[in-house]
Amino acid sequence: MRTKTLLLSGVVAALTSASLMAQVYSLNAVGYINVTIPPGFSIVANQLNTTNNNISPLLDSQINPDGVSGLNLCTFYKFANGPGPYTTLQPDFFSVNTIPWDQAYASNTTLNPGEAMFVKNLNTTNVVVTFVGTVLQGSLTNTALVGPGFSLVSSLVPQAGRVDVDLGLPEVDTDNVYIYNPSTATVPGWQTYTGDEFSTQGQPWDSPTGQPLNPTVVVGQGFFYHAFETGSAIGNAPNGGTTYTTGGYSALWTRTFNVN
Amino acid sequence: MKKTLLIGLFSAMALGAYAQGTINFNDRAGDATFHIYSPQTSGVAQNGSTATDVPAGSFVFGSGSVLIGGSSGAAGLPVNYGFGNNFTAQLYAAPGTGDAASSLLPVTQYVALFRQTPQAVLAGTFIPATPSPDAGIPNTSGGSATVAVAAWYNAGGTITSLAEAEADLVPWGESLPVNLTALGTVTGTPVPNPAEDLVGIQSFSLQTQTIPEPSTIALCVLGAGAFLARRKK
Repeated sequence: MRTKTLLLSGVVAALTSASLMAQVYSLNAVGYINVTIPPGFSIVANQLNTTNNNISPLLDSQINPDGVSGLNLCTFYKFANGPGPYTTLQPDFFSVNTIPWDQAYASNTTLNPGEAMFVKNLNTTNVVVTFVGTVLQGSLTNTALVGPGFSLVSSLVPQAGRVDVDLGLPEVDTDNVYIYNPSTATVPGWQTYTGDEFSTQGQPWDSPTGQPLNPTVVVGQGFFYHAFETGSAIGNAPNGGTTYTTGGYSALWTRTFNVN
Repeated sequence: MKKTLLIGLFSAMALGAYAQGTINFNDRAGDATFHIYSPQTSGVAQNGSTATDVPAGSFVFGSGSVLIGGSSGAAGLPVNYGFGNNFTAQLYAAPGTGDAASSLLPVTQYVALFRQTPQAVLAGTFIPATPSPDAGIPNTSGGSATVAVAAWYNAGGTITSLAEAEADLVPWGESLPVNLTALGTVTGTPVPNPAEDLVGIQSFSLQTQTIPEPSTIALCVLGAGAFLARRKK
């Protein structure tokens, strides 16, 4: 997925002064990311926060008015751990609903930063979608990663790299990370990584042959995490390879991030 | 023309390969942890889930059984069960569920040696095989397979299959078969599945084999026959 990131401003804002002595500054990073959806399956993520992160209206304005191309030929799948785990969302400019989606529930189905969705693109060419919003900053917790079981997640911020070393996801022994390479990749399909503190491969992962040693994503790309609920686990980056207590997985992926 | 047809055929075969169901050939996954043991003193193979497996059980392997691998050491005979390189593990599988163990076939890319790292937690486990691309288990595009894990003494890498190990009378064994019904896919409905862990496989021990010998009674009968034949002359 080719992504162009433009963090427009550092900036500004509410210079509200309650008194002449006290000035309060709000420093926000506002921008957009372009996320490329290749033909076939891929996992996409919205990594910028807005006032309404539901899939509708997030993508409404980008659904082609011809009704037969672009996003009209893409189907989104929202995942929730459990039986029948996928909810289907179909963009349709000529939908009978008041929104350009065949499912009215698109207007209350979230695609928050940290979440991700499967997309199936039936076009023969890439479709590029744009997400606009604010980069989350400060102390961040990805609440989309819960355990035990599978979670379809992404980085909370638009950042590419290794999910553990660069993006702050602790490597947990025997947990799985699944990266999905789209059909346009050299090796399409799933790449399975299993946390292994004693791996012989140079990083604490059992990594697919010929793939990066650490699970690696680009901006706007999500991945599956398979968590196994245990009272404690051996963790690596960024916790320094010590045993720590997970206390459940709701707060597993925490990090501090600032634009400046 | 012939060349084009051949290219087309090979392309179709490659696509077919991608369409097969995949598994995570790893015995230390969070939902599927099992261990492989040396033969017990009696030489009879055993199966069961122990307290250190996931899911955990209460089975205890018999006297003389030790976890295979977990250290470096010497190859050759007598068998050093602690030396990981002495032993090979491989997946055996067949499409569909409920297949008999005897009908399972080896899957080429899911083959591994045992660990040599001296951490106690690693003893009895093999180094995961992580092929990419992964051709999967043949003929399992339907998403299910019957699978078992086999292991054997490889005599310095010269014994390369379970059948060969049985024929050569070296220690070998296999798990009880289990059904996997959500194999990984590249395409799928509604979306592709990630590779499935080896959920349900239990720990097992190898068995030793001795050269079959005629029973005492058979020997007596044979001896008496020879004696009578001699007297007759």
